[in-house]
Amino acid sequence: MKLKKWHKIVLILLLAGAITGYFVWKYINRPNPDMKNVAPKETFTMQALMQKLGNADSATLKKYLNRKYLVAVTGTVKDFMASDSASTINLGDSTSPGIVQCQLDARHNNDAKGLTPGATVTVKGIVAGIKKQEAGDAISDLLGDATLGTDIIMNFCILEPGRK
Amino acid sequence: MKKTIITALVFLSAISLNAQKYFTKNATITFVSKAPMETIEGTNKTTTAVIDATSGAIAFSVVVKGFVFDQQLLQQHFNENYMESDKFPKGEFKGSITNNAGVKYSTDGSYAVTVSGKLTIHGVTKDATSTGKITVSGGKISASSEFSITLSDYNISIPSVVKDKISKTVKITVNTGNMDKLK
Repeated sequence: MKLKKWHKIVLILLLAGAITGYFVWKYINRPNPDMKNVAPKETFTMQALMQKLGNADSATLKKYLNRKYLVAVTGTVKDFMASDSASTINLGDSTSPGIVQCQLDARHNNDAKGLTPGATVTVKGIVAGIKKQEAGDAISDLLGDATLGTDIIMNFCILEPGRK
Repeated sequence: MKKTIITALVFLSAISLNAQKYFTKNATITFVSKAPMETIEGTNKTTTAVIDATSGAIAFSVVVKGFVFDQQLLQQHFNENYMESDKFPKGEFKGSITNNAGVKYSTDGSYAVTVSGKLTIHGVTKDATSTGKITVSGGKISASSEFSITLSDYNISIPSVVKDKISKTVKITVNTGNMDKLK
């Protein structure tokens, strides 16, 4: 059976619509970029990163608080909160109450399996923000003279191979 | 003399126990938006929470960019369009447990609490009250709560093009996990 010309046009339009719809749907629902095989732009020790960002000016913060700027940080595991979804690693030591908090990329959660406090690791990820106590904020008001230090928050973290 | 020293020690240890504050830097906040077309969930596992067992004062502080979503576009829109996280990088809650006298921080158990205070999101501070639970187990304490907020109350506007994807009210779940004693 031969298709009439306008039937063919409708069919082609429907097909084009479906293909376009598929790609739009894929674009909208695309996952966050997987950084597993991406090289970090900079590598720090935990102390160096804390020093760099703890009291950074707005230009420095703008450079590092960038979802495309991957950094790696090496430090000692202070706490490891294992989770079936995305685990969290706190890097820290006894010299400062401040820590680097790395929320692992759920796709690479298993890389951190069996991690224990005290291990030296390198984690790469995106710096999401600085958690700092400031006069008048809720935490400072409640703590009084005590301090919890300044924390660096990192997202989409991936544990690099070679923990010690 | 001996009796006086013992009395003083008991008194001092009681004061020390009462003045105890607990904290965590890894409280989890999850928010869920259930709209006709889509359910969206964002999680932040880096929230700082402090509870003063004596007064019942409670505080939370969260870095907004610390929320993680499965999809890149949601992650971007959440920070750039809805929460404007460069402009308002922090969210916080400051309040108190209104029935703190009923919580026995040194006795294992699960205690229903009501928390009341000021919630600041997107640069807007509003009164907020919620129910929750404080759990004491083996000397460790943890707290949890679940409540809803209306986005427009915090000047968070949803563009009409995605109004079927994001609900006007979102459910927020807070779970501190085990908290440490502040030394």
